[in-house]
Amino acid sequence: MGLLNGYLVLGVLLFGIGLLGFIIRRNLIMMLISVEIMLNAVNIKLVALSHFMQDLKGQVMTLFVMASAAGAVAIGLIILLMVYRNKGTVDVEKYDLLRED
Amino acid sequence: MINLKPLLPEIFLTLTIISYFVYGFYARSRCSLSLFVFVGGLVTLLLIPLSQGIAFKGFFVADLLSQALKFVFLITLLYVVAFSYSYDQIKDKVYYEYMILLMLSTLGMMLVVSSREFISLFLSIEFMSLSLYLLAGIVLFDFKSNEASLKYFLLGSLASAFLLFGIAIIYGLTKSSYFPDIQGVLQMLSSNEYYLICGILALTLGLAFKAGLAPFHQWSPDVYVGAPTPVTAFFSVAPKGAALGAFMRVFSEAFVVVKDLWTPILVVIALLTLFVANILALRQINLKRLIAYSSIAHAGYVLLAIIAASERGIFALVFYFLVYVFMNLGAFAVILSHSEGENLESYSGLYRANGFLALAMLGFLFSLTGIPPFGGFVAKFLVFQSLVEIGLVWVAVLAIMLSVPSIYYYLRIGVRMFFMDRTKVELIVPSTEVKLITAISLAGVFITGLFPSIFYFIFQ
Repeated sequence: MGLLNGYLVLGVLLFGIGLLGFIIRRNLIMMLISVEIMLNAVNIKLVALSHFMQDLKGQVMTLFVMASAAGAVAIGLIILLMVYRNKGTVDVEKYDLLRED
Repeated sequence: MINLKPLLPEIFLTLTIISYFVYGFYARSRCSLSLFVFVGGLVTLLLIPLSQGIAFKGFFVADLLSQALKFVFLITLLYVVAFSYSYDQIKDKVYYEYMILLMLSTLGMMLVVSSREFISLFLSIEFMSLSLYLLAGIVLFDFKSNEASLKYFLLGSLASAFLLFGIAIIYGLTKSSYFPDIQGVLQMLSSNEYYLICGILALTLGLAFKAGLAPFHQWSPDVYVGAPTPVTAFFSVAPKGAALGAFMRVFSEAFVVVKDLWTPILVVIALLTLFVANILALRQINLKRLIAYSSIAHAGYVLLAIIAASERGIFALVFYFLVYVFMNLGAFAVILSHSEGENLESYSGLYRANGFLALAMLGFLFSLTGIPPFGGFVAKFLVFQSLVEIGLVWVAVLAIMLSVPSIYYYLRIGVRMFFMDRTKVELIVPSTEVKLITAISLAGVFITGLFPSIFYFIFQ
């Protein structure tokens, strides 16, 4: 049980690091990577749980999540490239056209 | 032998999309592309009543909740295809891709409301969201559209991460991802409530974001304003329906045995949503932003039906969306009918510019406010009835009180149309499809208001 707890704590820590990165980083690419860290943190948890509970569903889920995360990155890079071409910056503070007036 | 009957609409829509990929290469005119998607969507819609049942050992289910919501999504798709046809900001160059994305996101939503298991639920939510992120940015060289897409993507993927986090916790506690199994395990679970609350909270956060509920609603007014208007119309109904349908299924099938744990969380979110949306909508002068806040408020009402999590609650939810699709998209038809439709100023003297549009808009606004004899009243009535039935009378009373400001911001537009004049009133001549759509929506709002029982016949 101790080993499982270690993995779970690692997962939660990584998730927290990703969240923190998402909140404090102002660079779009770093924000994208932070979200990826969060998804992979959950993957670690899922694989650990799946292994220690002797149940395959968690690992199957991890495979699917990896695939969908790859899709999300592809879409994210498309959007990033599009906004970068139009605006010429990856600093999220510069994107301030839409706001409460 | 797998029983594929429940999947009939999905299979047909998938085939439509695949054949559209090929067809689109030969026919690149706007008219033929729209017509193809419209007919495909219409046939899919007609297949829905045939698709009752469960498939894949219960992982996929077509019951009242999912069938009625699929109905709503496909009506929205048809509306948006009709809206987009003569909307010139979406260029011919991207029209082919635009239609594909519309159909793919609709397919994603249909899968969301039918999945009864966390892996497929997460995957279909991702499927839906990824198409929606691109739809928001479909006007390639418009800064606002770009920014809307970017905001939606960043915050949306954050919400997906939280959703997954919640799913992982629930999986760790119950060793299962199938809703009825989770319900069975939770029944016996006595300790570990702390972890369960963490899981439910993370899951709620993810889903509440997708549905645009406060306090995770900040993205939606920005995205609604930035996206082209037909896409905004799509966003304001279909993804909300999918997210709230998933909400309903998760909470009424998986977590129903631990109702005491999550009822306070959802009550707080619902009341906060109603408060924030109705107060912030008061000072909006951009109509798209106003509709964004109004749609947040409507999601709040639907959440009240989810709190009930009963048979009646499910019925209230699907009826709400069935009315909402007509009244909201009808209002969007009026917004799209003239070039300055986003601007509140342009509604001054609309009655003299075009009497039919003004009267129709008044009907939609009355319905959105919840004034009889329009459908919006019956929908709200059913929601509050389902709340009273489970004994949460004070929540219903508070929600009704919080909805009072909505009378002001909806009817402000009505007053402008009839009692204020501009110095120069130009006659507005909307295109034929806009007239037709407005008339159909008006009929929908009236029929659902006057004969709500018709609804029983459609789905039984």
